[in-house]
Amino acid sequence: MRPPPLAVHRLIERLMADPEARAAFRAAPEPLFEEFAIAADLRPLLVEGSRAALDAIGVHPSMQFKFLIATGRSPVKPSSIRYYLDRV
Amino acid sequence: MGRIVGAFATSHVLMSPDGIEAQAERVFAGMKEIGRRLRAARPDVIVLITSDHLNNFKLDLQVPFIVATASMFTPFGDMGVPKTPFRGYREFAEALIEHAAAHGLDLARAEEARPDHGVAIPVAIVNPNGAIPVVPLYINVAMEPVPAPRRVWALGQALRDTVERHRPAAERVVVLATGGLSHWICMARQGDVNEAFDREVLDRLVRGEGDRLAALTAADILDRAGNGGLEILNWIAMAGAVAGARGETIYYEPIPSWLTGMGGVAMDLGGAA
Repeated sequence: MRPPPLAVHRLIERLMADPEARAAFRAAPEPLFEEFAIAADLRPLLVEGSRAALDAIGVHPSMQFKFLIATGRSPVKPSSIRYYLDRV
Repeated sequence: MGRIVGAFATSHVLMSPDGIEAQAERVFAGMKEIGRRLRAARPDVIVLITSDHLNNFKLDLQVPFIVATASMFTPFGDMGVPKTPFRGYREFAEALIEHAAAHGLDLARAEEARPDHGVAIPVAIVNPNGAIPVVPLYINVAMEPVPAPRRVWALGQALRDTVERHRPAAERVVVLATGGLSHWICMARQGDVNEAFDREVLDRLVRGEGDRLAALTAADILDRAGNGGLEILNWIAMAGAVAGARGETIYYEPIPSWLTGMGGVAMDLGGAA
């Protein structure tokens, strides 16, 4: 069994938590790859960022979803929960 | 002895209404109706059975069952949910942990949790002013193996036993399960909704046949409802807490653009009130 890609998961957690990291990743991902010690063979796959690429790395499906959101590829339309909560 | 005076289940997301305005409005109306009925039951505490989305409990350590024991929670804030604090109920949470152990269910204790949308969206709708304390009870559906349906059914029964045998007289408890229905997250079937299975789940629950759902395997649910649909385990736990009760489907909408089937039920507890 292949071990989970913990470094990639931790990178995704950072991207979800930190808007500046998201912007930095989109502009130039290498410094974050270095910080999280992402293996060289995984970096092109993360730059490609497709679900197929993430699958190839073994990224957990929920973390794939987070990565897609963090990199501007959300599978669902953006929306504001305020549309609903303002009418509760 | 305390009493379970209400039991409900509902999906726990709300997304863009663009292009599906009528469906979105029916879902929202259904969630609000569940909130209206929940508040009408005048609970002293809501036990909210849910699953974390790798926001609190990460892949480094996934525990089958976790009770959040804090006296106050601040939402994680994902999906844009306001970070408005709401009350917990430490005494109840600790009692549940203690007495579930007697049922062979070892519940982990989380002193700190920042409840994500799986808690915070339903709370914002059913408990908008935060008047009712909430005890989040988390079931792992993120990492295999997830708990077997018969085990989460037993968890619901342990919850009921705690309420009825170990809580103060006149304490009024509502059980609210959240999540589901069928959805596939970053799997080949993402965007599919298995309406037939969703309706089977709803029908079983409202006929008082939750035990039939408990007889499924987690693999059955994964196959028919997807990895996100494993949140149906939360619903089965709720059903276990009110075993035999019938209910009513409050809403159901298959919404592929939200990647999920959306549903909600209210159980009829007869003279509970």
